[in-house]
Amino acid sequence: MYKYILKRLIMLIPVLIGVSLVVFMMLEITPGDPARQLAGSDASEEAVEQLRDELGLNDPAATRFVRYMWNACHGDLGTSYTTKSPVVKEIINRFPTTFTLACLSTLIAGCTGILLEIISATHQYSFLDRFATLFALLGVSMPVFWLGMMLIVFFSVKLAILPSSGFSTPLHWIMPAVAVGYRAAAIITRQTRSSMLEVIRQDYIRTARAKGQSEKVVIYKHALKNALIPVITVLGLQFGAGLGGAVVTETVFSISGLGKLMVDSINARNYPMVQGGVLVIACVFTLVNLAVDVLYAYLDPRIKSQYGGRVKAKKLLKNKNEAKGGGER
Amino acid sequence: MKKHFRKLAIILSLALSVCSLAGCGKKEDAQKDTLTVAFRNEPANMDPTGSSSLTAFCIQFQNFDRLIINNGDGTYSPSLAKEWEQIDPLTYRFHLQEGVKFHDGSEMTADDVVYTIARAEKSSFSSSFFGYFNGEACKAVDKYTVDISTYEPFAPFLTYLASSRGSIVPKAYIEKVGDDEFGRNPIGTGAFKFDSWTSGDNITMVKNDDYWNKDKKIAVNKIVNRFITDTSARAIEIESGAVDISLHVAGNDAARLETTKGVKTQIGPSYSTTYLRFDTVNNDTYADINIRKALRAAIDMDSVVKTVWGNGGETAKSYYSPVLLGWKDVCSNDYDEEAAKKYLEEAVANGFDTSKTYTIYCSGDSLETNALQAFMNQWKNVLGLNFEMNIMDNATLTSKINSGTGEIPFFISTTNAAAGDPDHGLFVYKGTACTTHKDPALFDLISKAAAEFDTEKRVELYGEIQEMLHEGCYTIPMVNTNAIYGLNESVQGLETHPGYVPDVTGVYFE
Repeated sequence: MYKYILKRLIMLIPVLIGVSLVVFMMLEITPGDPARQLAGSDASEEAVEQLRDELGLNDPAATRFVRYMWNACHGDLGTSYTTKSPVVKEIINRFPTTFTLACLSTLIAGCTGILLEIISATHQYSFLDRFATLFALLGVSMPVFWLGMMLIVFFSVKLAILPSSGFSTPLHWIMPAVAVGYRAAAIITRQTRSSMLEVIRQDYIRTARAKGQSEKVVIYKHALKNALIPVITVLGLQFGAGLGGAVVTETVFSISGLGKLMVDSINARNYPMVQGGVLVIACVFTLVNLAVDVLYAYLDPRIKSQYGGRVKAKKLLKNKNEAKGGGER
Repeated sequence: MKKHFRKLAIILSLALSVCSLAGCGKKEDAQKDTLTVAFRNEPANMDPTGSSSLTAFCIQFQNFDRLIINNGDGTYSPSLAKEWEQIDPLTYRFHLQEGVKFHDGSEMTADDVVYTIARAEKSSFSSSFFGYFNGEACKAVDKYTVDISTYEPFAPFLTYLASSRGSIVPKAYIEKVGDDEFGRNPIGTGAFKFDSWTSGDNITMVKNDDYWNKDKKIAVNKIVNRFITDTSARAIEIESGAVDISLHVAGNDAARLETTKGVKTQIGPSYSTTYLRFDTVNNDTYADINIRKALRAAIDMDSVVKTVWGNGGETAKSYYSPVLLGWKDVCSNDYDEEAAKKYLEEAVANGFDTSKTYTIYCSGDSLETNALQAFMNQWKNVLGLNFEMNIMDNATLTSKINSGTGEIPFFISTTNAAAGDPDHGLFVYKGTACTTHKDPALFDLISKAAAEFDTEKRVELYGEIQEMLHEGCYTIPMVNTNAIYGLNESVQGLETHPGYVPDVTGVYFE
């Protein structure tokens, strides 16, 4: 298992290089002049050209890419064209906000989704099952920005119990996390209901009940664990996407997160910020995927055995041959 | 069954508890010593010559002072300069206030003013204003007297000096910490000192207790400048009481805010003009004046502007905002369908192909695209011409327009004469990179008007320029959008600024 983890970490390097190259090329071919965006439409061509020189935009593309990668290897992701502060510093400033929002929304999605999944499966066709289905349907149909605006109108304007924007206190966290988490909860509920239904119809569940186990133990100890694999997958993807930044939510709630920083940087053609941001997001997303894969192993021993790889398979084959009577005489 | 009802009862109780909290939580009262202002974007930095953002200009007004104050009616009031005189056509002499301190305690002197002008001339962000100023020729006559010169006679001299880009900066501090650090931790002479900058959220200023201008009443101790990009969110912040002033309120939000308790709106003209623009320099598609006139005459601009913008704008009757010097109504009688058809016949006789589908480009602003849709319908109905809309993001569109390739022959554009001078409002019609026309007589006239110090003669010259622009039909003016502010009803003392650069330092609560 540790070798598997190490191998995945080593693979991160070519992934990051590839991502950087792709993003760099995409920025190169995308029309738009960062110098003109910065200088404004009323600036003269001479002033814009001066700015291009200052930003190093007149250097050949290959030179700029190699210089960027060399600096990135030393922890320097460049300087923002607009704020003139280091990209690393800008990302560090925004990352905790995005991380908090991603964690909270994933927590809400996980708790709500799993609860509704259990209710749906154990009380199939009941009122609660139908409620859960409706909940899920609304969640996947409702745009996040609309839900966010409605929450603001109801809780901030009408009731005045929650702040309408910002992310500085726990009270600020509630609405954005609910807006993002609700959709994910709905997806989990829809996708895992059938998985849970399949599990509770298995023979070992019937055996557990026949042996006198309480329904609670049957569901939470025997059934849930086996039904969690698709849930973990969705939660992992949701968390990773959240780390990429819930741009719409950040815009509606005026949260200074990574997603909005990325979109604003793309619009402003702030190349170092875009490249640095994508690099960080790609790195974090890869690590989250690795964590999800490791979690699979703890949930399902069959998956864990596959992580042993070729060495373990060879050992198993050798043991099998020896058992058959192989080996030198 | 009982278990389900129990669960349902718990859920309902929770819901009722939440609803009962209504009224218990009160709207956070705006602390009377803190003013919160919402802007639509975050400035890149706070260096007066380091950004072209209106938000930066407005916040810089809190932190910095200029030599003079533009009263908006062609007159100027003293600020850091107590008096001034023009000593020759290229030079003004300013006599500075004595004992003015920067926020780090150092005294402002003539050397700082010389440094400011020279720096502004060289900066890419301010050269559109200060490129006319001769930084090398500026000199400190003595500690409190400074001569400021231009390369040629330049009438907007005082207007540009009074703009945010003319804010006086501390020479010693900038030379010590560098431009980048100065942009993040600015120091000026203004009524408010820089306190903190939470990236993506707000810039906070605190009152400068050692402010040199003891006659100015500063009623608040702190200004929190918040960045809220979503237009609806800014309006909601006003409604919920989270901010005291919101700039750039949309027309439809203004209508709702006017009927909201505890909120008021202020609407005034702006320096902004939106228009359809032709590239006749790099592309021949619309080189024939007849087709341009045909397109202009086919549009009922009043109806379109009223429908699309409502009280968010007025029909543009000329080539810059009516609040600027020398404005003249030259476009009122443009709508004439019969004349449009005649112009089209002339254009067809000159080779214009009416069977093709032509493209008009825009950046996707919802109001502009609605207006363009109306225009395309009118061109189809009156002239039988087919147009399609091509929406690009702003950076791409700007880049292609300025590329000189003529790839964008017809597009929608907006200029904001932020300096408050008609010369700035006409920047798309002048300069070596001009793509609207190549009329040497027009270039000369614009330069002549910029160099004319006599106000009456200047007004006359701008009248001629507007007539020439109308005759040449290089652009088709659409709308002068209004400056709309949303305010908490207790906010007083704020004047609507046409350039969206209001001075909030004099605001008080009542």
